[in-house]
Amino acid sequence: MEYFQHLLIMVLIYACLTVSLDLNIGHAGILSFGHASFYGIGAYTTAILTVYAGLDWFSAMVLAFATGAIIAALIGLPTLRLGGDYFILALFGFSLIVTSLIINMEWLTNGPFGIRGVPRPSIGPYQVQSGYGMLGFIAIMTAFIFFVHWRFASSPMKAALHAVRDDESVAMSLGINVVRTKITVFALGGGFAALCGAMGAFYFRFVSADSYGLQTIILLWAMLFVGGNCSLLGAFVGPAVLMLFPEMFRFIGGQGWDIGHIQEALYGLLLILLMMFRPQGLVGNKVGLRT
Amino acid sequence: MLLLQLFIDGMASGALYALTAVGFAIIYNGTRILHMAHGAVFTAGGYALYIAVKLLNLPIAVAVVVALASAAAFGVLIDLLVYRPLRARKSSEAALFIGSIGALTLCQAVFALIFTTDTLYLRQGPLPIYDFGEISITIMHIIAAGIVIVVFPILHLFLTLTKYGRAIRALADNPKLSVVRGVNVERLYMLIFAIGSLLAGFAVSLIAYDLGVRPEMGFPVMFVSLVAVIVGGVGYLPGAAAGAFLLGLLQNLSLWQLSGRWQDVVVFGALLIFLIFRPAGLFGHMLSTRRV
Repeated sequence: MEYFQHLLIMVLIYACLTVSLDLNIGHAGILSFGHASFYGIGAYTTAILTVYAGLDWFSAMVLAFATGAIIAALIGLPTLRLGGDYFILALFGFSLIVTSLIINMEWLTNGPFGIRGVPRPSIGPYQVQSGYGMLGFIAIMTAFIFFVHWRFASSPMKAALHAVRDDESVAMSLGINVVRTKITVFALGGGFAALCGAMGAFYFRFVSADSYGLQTIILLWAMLFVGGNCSLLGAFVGPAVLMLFPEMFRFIGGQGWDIGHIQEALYGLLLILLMMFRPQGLVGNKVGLRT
Repeated sequence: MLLLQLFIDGMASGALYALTAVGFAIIYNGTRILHMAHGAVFTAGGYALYIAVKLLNLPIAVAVVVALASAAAFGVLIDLLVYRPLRARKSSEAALFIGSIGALTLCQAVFALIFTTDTLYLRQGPLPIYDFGEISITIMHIIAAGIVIVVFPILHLFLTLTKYGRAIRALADNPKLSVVRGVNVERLYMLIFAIGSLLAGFAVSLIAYDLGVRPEMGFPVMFVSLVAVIVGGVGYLPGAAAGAFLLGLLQNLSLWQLSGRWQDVVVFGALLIFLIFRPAGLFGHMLSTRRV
């Protein structure tokens, strides 16, 4: 049972990450190739504040959200004015710098060893333990993030976002402040990714720099495009398929199979085939980013 | 003296970056694909060299030719199997980029499955080193300089004097007009990928022989090259080469004051500064880039 709880929690955390990435890519057309860094920034902020500064979990989580949003706004301010390919590169450069800083700033982050012993959340006298307690906590957070995303996606802001995504010049001519709209949504995406980082830190009770690099970026993009962008259902389907699909190898695979790399090869193949045959994703619709 | 040594090392790694960067730039200018799988092409060349040297026991000169041909063929194959079907369904640039990421991930994983993640070495023992006072130069420095001095003028002559070279430049300059003028774009794309990948093949032959082959070796080199293209100015090949030398120097000279673990921050810090203050790159004023 514990194993299924773990899988479910992982799917939920990645669903939240996917939905935060979808806010940028699907709704705003901001190809954020550094999203995993905000996830990492959130996780590290939570770990540093709770373990080193002794802050309570809730304040740490709120501050993680704020840190993610502020850093996203600061990095978005100069880079969101750049054209598509330049932005992708700038963000990936940013994510490499973040990884490098996490590894090199030992006094703050404990370098390559990561930070251990992040406390579990507690509500009043009730201390959330592993198992069902943690699953409940993650489920509540997921519901909250999806609710906010849903409210946001049904607000007038969405029309402005989609206009900016589909044609910046037209959006500008309609009086939409393109750069401000993009920075707002980019900051929100960064904040929510950081919130996911906090959830991850509470669950694993451990943060380390190698969980937020290129592999995670590619995994997140794969999850988003497997499910389909601009779709709340897709944000569940993508992570569910990509988290559960490799588990099949545990049953059919023999000893000595290099599961990790088989999995990576399949992700790569899946991305190529999806773009060719079903670019809107498994359950996506056609309102999203045109691929 | 240390500075001079670092300068020489920087020029040598700059030369290798320049080969990969100009290869990337030819592909990017002509096809407008952010060809992340260039890193996989690079690695494929390295493994081809390993197979030719270690498994087939070919002499090194023949093995290098095999590696160059394999890199070129691998680049063309990626275009045919991944990019061409995507172009056929009029995919957006985002879809081409995702396809490219997919190809890179797939190839790296397959290399790891076939050859394991260990570094495979092609040679034993130290390379010949020439000492001039406190400065030492390895044979690799000299070969890298030699390749750059020979290959870039030939490339320049090809692009300016031959029919196909001029077609490649026309396509980079104005794709629609080239089609109107009767350029067979799909066939030209194959040539573009072959040339761009061939240049990466030169760089990887040197690096693989010197340092060995790993499945993920292509990605960092490809990425620094990409940064070099931006820093030099998109659309202008000598700019890409200049950007590559600049980054090679920056990486090595930074060792004078900072330890090697800050190299990523130095390179990508330079990228961010360029993107913010001079997105057209060093030589951006030499032409009007279409998408800044």
